[in-house]
Amino acid sequence: MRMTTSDEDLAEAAAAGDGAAFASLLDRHYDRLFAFCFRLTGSRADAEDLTQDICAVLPAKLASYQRRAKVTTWLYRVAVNAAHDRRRKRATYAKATTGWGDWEIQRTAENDDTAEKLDWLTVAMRQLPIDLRDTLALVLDEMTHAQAGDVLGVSEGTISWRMSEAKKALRVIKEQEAKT
Amino acid sequence: MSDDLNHLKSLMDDANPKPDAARRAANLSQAQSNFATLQQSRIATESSLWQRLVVGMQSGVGKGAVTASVVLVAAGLFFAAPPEPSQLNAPLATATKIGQSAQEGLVAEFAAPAPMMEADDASVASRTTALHDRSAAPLTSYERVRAALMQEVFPSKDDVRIAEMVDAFTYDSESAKTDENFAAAISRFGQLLHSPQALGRSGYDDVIALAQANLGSDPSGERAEAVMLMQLARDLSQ
Repeated sequence: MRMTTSDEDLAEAAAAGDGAAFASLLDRHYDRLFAFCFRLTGSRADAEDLTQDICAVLPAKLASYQRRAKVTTWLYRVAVNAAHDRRRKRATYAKATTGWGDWEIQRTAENDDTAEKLDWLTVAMRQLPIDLRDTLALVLDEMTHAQAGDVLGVSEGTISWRMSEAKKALRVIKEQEAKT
Repeated sequence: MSDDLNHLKSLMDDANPKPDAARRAANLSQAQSNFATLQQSRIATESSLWQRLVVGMQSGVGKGAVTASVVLVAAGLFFAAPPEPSQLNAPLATATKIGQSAQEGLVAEFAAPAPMMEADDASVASRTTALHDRSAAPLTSYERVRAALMQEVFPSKDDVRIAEMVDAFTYDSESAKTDENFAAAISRFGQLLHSPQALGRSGYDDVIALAQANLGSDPSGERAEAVMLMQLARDLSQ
């Protein structure tokens, strides 16, 4: 029966104290949330930790859910903020890691073909500033520019501008690759 | 979307890993238990405020004579047609004040609008964590793992955070490959602590060998210590 209930109804029930609604909502969105965390961080281990962070704070965050927002928008906003927090925290004790991809991508890509593809993805994501990475993570997740703007707290125009910057940057990376 | 973006999207989709089933289950249950704890503390706060309100009224106006409806009616009258301060008797004013501050307190604590940047995330996380009997001291994941293993018990799975464990080391060996391999050993160590079946039968022996072969110069001895912890974990697992 829960499956037919809308996300927004579940979130509202959860905010009012319905534990079953909360469990059902989180279960429904967990895999997508994890995939989004992977897009944000580029590392499986980081995505696992980030998802864990989000699960821990989500009950307290429910208070900030407002009916007029889509649940995914709200959830992604919590995720983006948690990712920011993590980056800030990591900056204090991790100098060796650069963020997207890190050591893990190369290590897990055992077959060469995958390694090559992942290398390109890693190279591309790493060269983009964090704002553009976050924006790409959302837009590549089928969000419209308006929805992405909602999540990141910027205007739709800013998202469109960032996307055009990201495209430019990707083109430059490709051209550099073609030369070598 | 342009070709470049489509290309990036398909690479991203290919790379997207599936969440680890064990951690998924653990995270969902942790979230549910945090949820239940928050609800309980909310109910407790609400009822204690209510008791204070009733006690305040009873002591001022006459024991046993006050019911909830009186309070509501009194508050309603107060807001609909505020009497002169001199007309108010003291207990009623106090009750209304308590009612207001109770409501404000609840609003501040549970419904604080935090639509965007949330500097309080860390404190919320630590508060929720503290509710779960975990040390409030700001230990890193690796420090908690070490503390548990030194006492010859397995760390709780919540404490095993692979990326954080990897970050706990310095990576400035002469060879980047050495650093990368050592990081991989720590990552697999974390996986083993999470789900001992994850890496097959060879498990700890392989991880220990990989770490030992990539100690580098290890000036602080932190890598050697990690190997020792891996050995402790292996012994515990047998």
